[in-house]
Parts: sequence; C-alpha cells; structure tokens
Amino acid sequence: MKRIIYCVTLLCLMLPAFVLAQNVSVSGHIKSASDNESLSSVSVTVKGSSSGTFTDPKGNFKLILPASTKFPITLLFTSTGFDFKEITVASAGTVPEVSLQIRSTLGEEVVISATKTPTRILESPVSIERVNSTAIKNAPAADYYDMINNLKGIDVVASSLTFKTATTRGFGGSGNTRFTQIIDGMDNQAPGLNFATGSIIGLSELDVDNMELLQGASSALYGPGGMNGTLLINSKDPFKYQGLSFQAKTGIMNVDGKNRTASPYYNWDMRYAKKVSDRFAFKLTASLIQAKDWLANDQRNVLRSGAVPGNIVNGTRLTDPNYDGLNSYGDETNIDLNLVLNGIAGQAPFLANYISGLTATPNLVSRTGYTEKEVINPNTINFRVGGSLNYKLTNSIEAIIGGFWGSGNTVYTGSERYSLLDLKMGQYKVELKHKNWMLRAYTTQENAGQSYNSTITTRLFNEAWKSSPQWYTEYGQAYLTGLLSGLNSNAAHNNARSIADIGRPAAGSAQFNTTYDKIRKVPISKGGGLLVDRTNLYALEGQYNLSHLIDDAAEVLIGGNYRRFLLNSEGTLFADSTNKIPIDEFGAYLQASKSFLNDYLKFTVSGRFDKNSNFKGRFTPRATALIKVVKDNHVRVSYQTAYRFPSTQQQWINLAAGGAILIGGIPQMQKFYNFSGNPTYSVSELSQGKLVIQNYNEFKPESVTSYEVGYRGLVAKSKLLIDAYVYAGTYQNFITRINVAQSITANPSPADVLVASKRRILSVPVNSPTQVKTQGWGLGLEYKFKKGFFVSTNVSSDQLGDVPNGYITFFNTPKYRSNATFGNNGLGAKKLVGFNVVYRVQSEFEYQSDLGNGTVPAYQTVDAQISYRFHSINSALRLGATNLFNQYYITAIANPSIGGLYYVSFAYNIF
Amino acid sequence: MKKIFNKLNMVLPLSLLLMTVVTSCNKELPAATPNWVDPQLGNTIADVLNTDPSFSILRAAVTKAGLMDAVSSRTNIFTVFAPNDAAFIASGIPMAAINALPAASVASIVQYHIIPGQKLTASVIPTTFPNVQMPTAFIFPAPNTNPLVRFNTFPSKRGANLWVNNIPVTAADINVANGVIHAVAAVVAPPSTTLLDAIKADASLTYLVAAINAADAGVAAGSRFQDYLAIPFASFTVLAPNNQAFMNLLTGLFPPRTPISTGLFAALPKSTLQGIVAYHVLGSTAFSTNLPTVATGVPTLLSSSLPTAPLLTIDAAQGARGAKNAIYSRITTRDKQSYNGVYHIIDQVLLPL
Repeated sequence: MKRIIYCVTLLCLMLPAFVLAQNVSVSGHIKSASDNESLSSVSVTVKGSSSGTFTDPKGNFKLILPASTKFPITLLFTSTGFDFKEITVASAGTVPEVSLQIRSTLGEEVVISATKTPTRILESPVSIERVNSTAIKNAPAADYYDMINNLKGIDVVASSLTFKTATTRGFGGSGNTRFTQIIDGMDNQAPGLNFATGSIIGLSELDVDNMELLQGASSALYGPGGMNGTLLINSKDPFKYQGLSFQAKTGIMNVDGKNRTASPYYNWDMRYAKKVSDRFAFKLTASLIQAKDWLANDQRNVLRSGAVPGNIVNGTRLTDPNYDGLNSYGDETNIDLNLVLNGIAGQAPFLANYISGLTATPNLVSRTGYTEKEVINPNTINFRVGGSLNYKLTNSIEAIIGGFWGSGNTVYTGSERYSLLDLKMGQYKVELKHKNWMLRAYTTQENAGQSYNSTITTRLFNEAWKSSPQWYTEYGQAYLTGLLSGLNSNAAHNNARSIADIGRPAAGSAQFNTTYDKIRKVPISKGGGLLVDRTNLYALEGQYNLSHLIDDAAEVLIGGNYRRFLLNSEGTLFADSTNKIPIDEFGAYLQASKSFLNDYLKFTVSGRFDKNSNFKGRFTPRATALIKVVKDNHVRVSYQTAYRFPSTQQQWINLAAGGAILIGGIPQMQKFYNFSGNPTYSVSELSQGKLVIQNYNEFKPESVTSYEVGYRGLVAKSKLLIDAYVYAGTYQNFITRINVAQSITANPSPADVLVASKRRILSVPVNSPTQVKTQGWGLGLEYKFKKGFFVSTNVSSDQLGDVPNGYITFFNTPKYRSNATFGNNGLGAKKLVGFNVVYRVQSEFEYQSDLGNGTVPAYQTVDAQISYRFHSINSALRLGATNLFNQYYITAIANPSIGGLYYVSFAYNIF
Repeated sequence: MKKIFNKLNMVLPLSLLLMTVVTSCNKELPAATPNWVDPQLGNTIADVLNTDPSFSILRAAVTKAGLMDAVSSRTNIFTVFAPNDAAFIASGIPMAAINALPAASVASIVQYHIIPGQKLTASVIPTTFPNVQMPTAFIFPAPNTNPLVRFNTFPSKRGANLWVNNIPVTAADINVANGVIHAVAAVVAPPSTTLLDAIKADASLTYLVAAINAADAGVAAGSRFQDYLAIPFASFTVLAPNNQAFMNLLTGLFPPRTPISTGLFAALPKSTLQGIVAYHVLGSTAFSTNLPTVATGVPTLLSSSLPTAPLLTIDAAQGARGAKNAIYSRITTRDKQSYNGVYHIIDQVLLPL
C-alpha cells in the first residue's frame, strides 16, 4: 500500500508539467433516437487523431482540442449497443444535438484478446466469445462471473456459491490450472495456492466492462498456462463511465430447507468514478457478498487405495465398516482390523482359533467421520475493493495505477475440501498505455489467512479426541464381544463403533469447537490443518505495435514479460523453511499479420518463447488464416500450441498429507530427498510384490497442440449470427503424481521399503508418457428480432480420444452442453420493461478427482429475470432467479448441490 | 402491444418447448447405496426348536435359560450343537430334570452348546490335530469380568465325522437363517473344575499329583506345573499315567525291595522329574476322538522349553509312546474334561530320554 501511495504522490507532482496552455472546445449532447433518453459513456473521438472524450451521465460532452486544431473536423460517436455516427464540425463551440440509433445488427462487437489488437468479432482468427456490460446488466445470473456459464464451450465447476472454476475443451475441475484468467492485464492465479481467483477476488460487478473468452490453446499470446483457454476480464474506464453507481441484491436461497434452512443472500456493489479533468480520472469500487453457502452433501461411499482416486462403491456407515463418505471427513483414516484382532489372539490364545476364522480376509475399518455440514462454516463472505487512478500524461499516453483486493470465506475443492477462511489476495499494477505500446508492472499478494484442509483437520480432530491405537483397540474388543454375544458380523461392527465412539464430541459442541479450532490453526506441516501461504508474484510486461514503423505494410506486434514468484510458506507448504524460494519466468512474443487479395485472406503468425528457471526454454507457435467468403462471412483456420510450466506446487511443494509426502518434481527436490543415494521404489509395483526402482525422466511442462476450423458470419439480412468450430487437440507430458516408497533407516536397504515402519511414501509429480487426444465442436446462433427481442443458443461437444484402459485423464467434461437465451432489454415504447430467460443443459459425464470418481448426472437449469426501469431516477428494479425451479444439481463429484437463488435488486446508474 | 405479440408468434412455440423440457426434473443426488446385508430370512434356530418335536427338551431348556429371543433374532448368528430329546434322556437329563434345575444351571448347559457370532459349518471345521478351540456363549462366572473369556468347546472332524469335544455329531449342517445346527448324540456337559483339581480328585492319579508336587518343589509360585494346570483359561491335554504306571517306573529306578511310595519322587533329580512331567502335557486340547490315526510326532511342553526335545508319538489306535518307551502306553480312560483341557489316563509313564 505504501508503495502505491508513493507512486500516486509522484504522479500528482508530475501533473502541472502536462497541462497545456491554450485550448478550444467542442461540446454537445447525445441522446438515444428511440426514446430521447440522454446517453452517457458515449465515446467521442476526432477521426484521424487520438483526441477523444466520453459523455457524462447527463449525455453531455466537452472535447478540449489544441488551439492549433484545423477545422472542419469529423467527430465519431460510438457506444455499445448503438450504431456509430459521424458528424462534421466546422468550428469550435456547441454542436447540434446528436441522436444514435439502437443497433439492430449483430457481429459488430470488437474483441481485443484474439490478436491483442482490436478486431471485429466477425474477423477474429480464433474462436472467441464476448460478454459486454449490457449483457451483464441484463443477465439473470446473481453474480456476473456466473455469466460465463452461458458461453459456448465452457464448463464451470462450482465448489461453492462463490468459488467457480472455468475451463474449455475438457480437463475441467475445481482449481484447474490449465485455464488462464487475466483481469485488467493481471494473471489472477493465486501464486501459491495455484487456483484462479476470478470468482472471489476480482472486479466488482459494476466495474466489469467486458469479458472475453478464448476457447482452447492460447499460450502463444498469453504465455504459459492457457492450455484450455483464457478468460480476460476488463474493467471500466473511469474517463468513460462516471459517477456513482450502486446495486443492492437481496435474495433467498436454500428455500426448500432440504440441505439448510432458508437463508438470505446479499450482494452489494458500489462504484464511483470521476473525471476530475480531461487528464485525470479515478474510480473506486467495493462489493460485498454474504450468504449461507450451498452444501456439499454427497454421502456416497468412495473406495480409496493410497493416493489413487477411488471409485464410488456401495456402502453406508451402517453397512460398510470401511465407509468413507465423499462429503464426510475423518473417515479417510482406516486400518485393517485384523491387526487388532490378531493382537488379541496373541494375548488370548483361547480365542486364536475363533479369531482366525474372522481374519481370513482384510477387515478394513474406518473411523467415524463428520459431514461437511458439521465441520465447515457455511457463512460465505466475499468482500472486494478496487480502484484506479488514470492520468493522461500526454494526449496519447495514459498512466494507470490500479488494483483490487479481496478477502473472504469460501469453500474450495482441491485434493480435499478446503475451507478458505479469511483468504486475502491483492493485485496491484502500474501501467503506461499508448495506442502503439503498453508497459505494465504488477504484483499479486496472497495470504491464505486461516484456510484449512477439512479432511486433514477432521482426521486430526479424531486423533485428538481418541487416538487411533486406542480407538481401534476398543473397537476390536467390542467387535469380538459383540460377536461372542451372538451378533452377526455387520451388527457386531455397528455395535463396536457405537462403543468405541462413546463420548465422541457432537459437532458444534463446546468440546468439539475448542479442539477443532485449535487443530485448524496449526500448520499442516506441524500436525494441524492450516494452510500457510504468503506467496507473491511480481510481473513486468510490455508490448509494442511496430505497424506504424513499416507504414502498415503488415501488422507486427512484439512483446515480452518477466515474472518472479516468491514462494513463502515458512516451510509449511513449500520446501522454503530457510528462505523464500524465487522462481523466475520470462518470455517474449512476436506476431505478424498481413492481408492479401483485398482483405479476402489474412494470415497471422505468432510465436512465443518462454523460459522458467527450473525448466528449459520453450517455443510455442500459432498460425491462423482468416478467409473472407463474402462480406461479414469468415472462415478461420488455426494451428495453436500451448503449454504450462508445472505449477509452483508441482515444483516446490513439500507437504506431509494423508499418509504420503507430496513433493515437487524438480531436480532440487529429488536431490533434497537423496533419490540418487537412496533410491525410491514404485508403490504400484510393490503392491504386486515387485521391488522396482523408480526412474525419473526430465520433468517437463505439459503441452497441447490444437487444430481448428471455424466460421463466423452474418446471414438472413444480418439478423442471424452464426459461429461454429471444430477442433482436435493432442496433449503431451500430462503432469500426474506417482507414489514411491523410500527407506528411512540410517543404512538404507531395498528390503526397508517392504516394512511400513522403515519407509516413507513420497508422491512425486511426473510426466505421463501417454498422449491424449481430444476433439470437439461448437455451434452458436444469435438472432435479433424487431422491437429488441433476441434469441441466442449454442451447443458444443468435447470428447476424449481413446486412452489405455484404467488410465485416469481427469477429462471431466460432458460430451454435450447447450444453452439458450431469450430476452428483451427494453420492451414497449418507453423501454421500461426488460426480461431475460436462460436455459442451460448438459449431459452426464464421468468425473475423476482426488476425492473420488463417479458420474455427474446430466442437469438442466433455468435462470430468469424481469426488470423495470425508472428513467426519472436512472434506476432499475429487478426480480431474478437462478435455477428458477430449484432443481439441485452438482457440477463435480464431492461438490455442492446447487439450488435456486431468488433475488430482487435495485440498481442506480448502471451502464 | 399487438405488434409485439405478432412477433412473439415465432418465439412462443420455442418457449413452450423450452418449458416442457425444463419441467422434467434433474436427477436427485444419489444417496449412498447400502451394502447388501443378509436379512437372514427363513427359519431361525428358534423356529426349528419350536417346530421339531424331537427338540422339545432343548426347547424347554432354551426357554428356561431365557435364550429364546437371542436364537430368534435375525441379526444374531450362532452355531448350535443340539441334543435331541433322545440325547438328553441318554445323558440322564429328561424333561423333568430341566424343569427341576435352577434356571442358571439350565442356562449354563444351553450356553455351552452354542458358539456365538460365527456359523461353523462342517466344511469350516478343520481336520487337524488338536481340536479347534471355540468360545461358547457360556461366560466364565465371577470373579472373571472379561466378556471375552468363555467356556470353550472343541469341535473336530475326522473324515466325514464331526464331534464336539468327544460327543459325535449325528446330523451336521442343519442350515438356518441365523446360523447352523449340528444335532449331537448326547448333552455336551460343561466342565466344572480345573485340570489340577480334577487330577487331584482322581484316586488313580495320586502318584502323578505327587510327581507334579515334587517337580514343583522350590519353583517360584506362578511358574509351577500346578499353577499352569490351575489357569482356567489355558488349554492342555494331560496324558496322565495311573498310579501303577508310576509304581512300575519307580520300581525300575530304585534298588530292589525299596518300598514304593510317592515319597520317592523327592529322591529323583528334579530336572529329570520336571522333564518327565512336562513330557506328559500338551499345550492344547485334544479329545481322543481327534487323535491322529497314524503314528504322529506331537510336541509337548518339554518341546516349548527345550526345542530339541523328542516328540511324543501318538496313534489313536495304540496310544502314546515316549522316545524311550519300548511300547505304546494304552489310553485306559479317555476325555476327562476340565475348564482348561482334558486328560486321558495311560498305563505307562512316557520317557523322553
């Protein structure tokens, strides 16, 4: 914060230097042709120059021009949702009132992220989806981030009300690291925890200008990551969108009381922006979400063996002594009761014969768990603040100091369910922008706060209440006693559990809370459940558009970036007990595009080179061709590559969790664990009775190569916009984990790894030798009727190619998904009423994760809203619902059942 | 407005279609599916007792013992050795005796016929020596407080024949919903003493008792033979030479005309005497019905303290023979059962060396 204040001060000191001496001005008023309402945030630019301004909330503009301006000039008026207009101005002064027509055509949207230069969406050379602020304003979603659900080809896993993870083209999952999210130019992956935080720490809804989604591989422009797409969220310019806006949503969820009692939902947003002068503007945003979260209440039984994800099997707490509920924690601890029974047989030889009749096969028994409802605080809070100071150093260079900070409580699904408590993350940047170049420095500051792993904590809680040696001894004796009183095996198990559990603290009791709170506040590495992480990221990037230097003969962009991760977990998550670990990454890219045959053919080639301090340099090319078939109808063909450096955890983690020590895959970690002097043995081979030394190949980034053909075009008198694509992708060097055993004796011998007390199990990330292929397609249609009615629909499909039997890919993607939207943003002559209905459906699919493998059933859901505008007070009242019919669905195994949320919102001055 | 509705003509069918689709429900999140638990349907032990007239005495005994509920339960499982009326009468326990006995005594008799918690069909009872030792429903009375300490019973199998202790099973594997019934030829009487007390009370074994006492002389309490033989939860087989056998031995060891008496044991080297006593005790229970049918070497307590000690040879038809015995000792009296094992009286002292 100090740094920011310093920078602001510096900037303010520089202000006078840029104030120009003599000016002339052109001013005027802009209204909508259809209803004569004043239009704010309309861009007013002088054609052929970089001078420009925006209308204020009352529709007025005043364009300050240098005294040397030569009249006549042409003013260009553009605004989202309206046709552009040009007028010629003969002299300085006030111009006649300008009225803009509501745009009835489609495909006029401009996207930036496809090529890093403004491009009409119709002419984008790769698949892209865009959500503009008008769409956000009219969406029935309770939170803007949920809107991405409706984009073509996207899958979203909801780990809780506010924790959402998106991906495209397969390999979904909570905390997915293959999908890059960039907010205002900053990669918002939490640098230590490795999940993207877009849904919890990011922009306030009122400050979102647009979201752009690049489906599929996109490293060539956006760097490592982005193997399965990139989402860019951009905020509103304070020069353009001014004034105070606020929105208060109040709702209700859990209405049927099925999982929780009905509870309120609050989502408040505020934004204030002011253009102080033609050079200086600032904005401030804040938002608060508060609710009782959806409940993950999947009590199905999962069969685990070691770290290998298990399948869902039959069994309940009363019918399987080894029951391990998906959303029940603490019951992951299990042993073979035969150990106890054989111990009893040794001490009581008169029972030896009887016991040998019981121990012919393993008798796995798990400890009694607590459900998610019992251990995870349902109160979800999400508080965000953000803002920026924008100063135009010259007519063409703008300096921006901005940032956002968020904190809150939510639930995240990683290898276990994590209660993220008091998680804090801030992203701050300083940026210089010119139409030809950009320079940006930013940092991501992360603090895991009091976040804890619910599984580890609950398991330790069980130990703290009654240690497993004691519990299992009591259980074993009670089991035998039960049998000897005549009970059959199942009844004897249940009897034994009830006896071993005598005095077990009830969830929520004072005893429970005291012990539980104590454990969750101790770092995992020190025998607790706390996640300690204060890893930071520092990044610097720049880009230059060389086109003007070569007289626009071709469009050429160069850019580069540097990133430094500073791992800081004080030895609790990473191997950083002695000092913070730096990881450096740098990259550079070049893109050139040229049109041929009167713009009927446009080639773009991009290439990017990246190097990480722990990995060899890597080149990722991209080549695209855009063919204009006829006006407004384009076919695109692309070859794209993407790759991902292993995450910071996959490089440097050093964490004992759940019977294995998770370690990073880089040579330093293998050296630390002395792999060369004390070899490790494959656990999967050991389980088949074989002693095989595990060999390690060079640990490499994973990568994907993808080919795509697409079409986007306007037909039916420009009323119907069609977008379609087919793609095929090949993934290589998938990063997976394997378990190996290593001796822990002073003089290691191979036989040690056969004895549990003489070995440790290490979980090491490695590259899978198996190549995985995927393919899919998507089709989207958008139709505009008269009177503002619109329908849009899309359907997409992603499929996994053949993989070896039993190979776990974590593809986690439905074969088909589709959605349809029908709405009108302003009905009637005065356009007072708007409505929007969104229907979404997806097919069932197999979900594989560290928590369990199982089927995610097909689901469909309807979101709807109806709004009424009060033009006189520039406000709107809205009644909305997500999952209108309150039909619970899950998006992934062990994740919450999402039900209906009904809200009413009042919004003032939203753009 | 009219115009709007005209335009709606196109979208109305679409939205109607949509409404029909969405009113079909999402699948409920599946609940955990219980594992199949055998509901134990069919006739229970109680049903068999209540319907088979040949078990009328057993039925009366089970009822009087208060165990009818337990054997009716479908969450219980028992292996029952069931004497029918003829077996009860043959064992000298007619209906009248059941009626006359105190309920507690009837209960202990009935409980001794039941192995709880497991279904031991003929196929799972091994053809091994010695017998398998199984806890019964008969809990050791106070001062024992451990519910795991039971009177034991010793099923065995030779060929197709099944026994419990030394009582033959007349009809094996009567399968019922909550276990299995094996009809037995006689009442399986629960023991009432320890091996030590039983041997002491046996007038034909006064020399053996004297030999044990002499071998124990000077040994710390707790480690003496008599202490072991008095542990109610242990399991031994004592091959007990009768008085004449010891007299014969002593006659050979001492000069002619030495008056033979139990006092002579004190004159023998203690280690020899300890060795001889240990050579007569097996660390497990072996009823005569289960003795090996071909000559088989069997370890004794001597083997536990001296691994190189010679084994005892046992042959069901001939008896037992020590390493230094010229001929087999005949078993003259069989299967004298106690809490902690069984003794068989033999007519020769077994000599290891």
